[in-house]
Amino acid sequence: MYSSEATMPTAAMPRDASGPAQLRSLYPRHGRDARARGRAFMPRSHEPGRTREVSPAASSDMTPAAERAAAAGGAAGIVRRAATCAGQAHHDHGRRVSAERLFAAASPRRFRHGLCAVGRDPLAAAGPAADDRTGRARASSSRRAPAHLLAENMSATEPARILAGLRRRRGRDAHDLSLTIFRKICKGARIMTTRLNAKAIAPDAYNALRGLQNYIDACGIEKPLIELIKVRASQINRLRLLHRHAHGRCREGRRKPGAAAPVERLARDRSLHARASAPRSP
Amino acid sequence: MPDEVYDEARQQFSDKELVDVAYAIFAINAWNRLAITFRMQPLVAQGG
Repeated sequence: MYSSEATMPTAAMPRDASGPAQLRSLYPRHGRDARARGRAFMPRSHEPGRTREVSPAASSDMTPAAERAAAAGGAAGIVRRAATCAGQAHHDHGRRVSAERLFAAASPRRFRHGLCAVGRDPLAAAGPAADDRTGRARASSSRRAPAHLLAENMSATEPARILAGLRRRRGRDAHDLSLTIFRKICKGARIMTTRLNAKAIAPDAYNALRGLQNYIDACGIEKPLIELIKVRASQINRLRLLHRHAHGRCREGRRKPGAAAPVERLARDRSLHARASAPRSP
Repeated sequence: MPDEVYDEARQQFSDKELVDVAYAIFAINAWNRLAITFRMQPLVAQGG
């Protein structure tokens, strides 16, 4: 869904959004904000530079603001307006609107959800990404898929993709909240999801292995030694999540004082890790 | 498994203990294989 720039969220909120009344002014195209900017979002046919060249008489119909924009130059003027508007999406009638409120207003339920809220506009609006956006791109982006569609299709890899998009667009106006969610996504990107439940799919094999483990646990070898064997064998086999693994063992071992310490030390010994990354032992 | 390592282990462990240790190594490797392949969650991560 993030294949092209045009489908990314932008400063322009969906036109048909039926939010609360106070949200209207957050839409940069409409209301007092737009008027205060001197009708920055006039139709393309009224584009200052072009109109003046084709029909000089028409220039008398232009507003002073439009004439100023024309003086600034056609295409360049549009680009600047888009950027300005992106900045003003964070303001409501001159007051600064927190990104928090923007998120909450966009969809309270998804705001709570955090991850899903990222599909909404404020973060994108904060960035300088609008600098290179033309009026045409803005129009198409206002018809993009709503955020909840993105959210409901969220997969395990989605946080990473959102993160990539966010990195591109996070700009000078990025609010603290965006950072919070940013971190949340960073965290989410590392979430590991279970592929298959081996125990449920082949319970007999699992129980056989479990039976072996039960034998080992009860065979008379001291518990700390068994834990050492687990840690060391895992190191030799380059188990990456070893420290977490070992942490659990240590926590388990705390019930018996002294049992955990050697395991923990062994797990944290970097030289052992170095040796474990050497070619496999026979 | 080189002879000198085996002999060293023999001095530390009885016959049964040696077999048990071997099974312990085998078992943890089996668990690891299973856990890595299917990305099983450690109990710590599940809060258990």
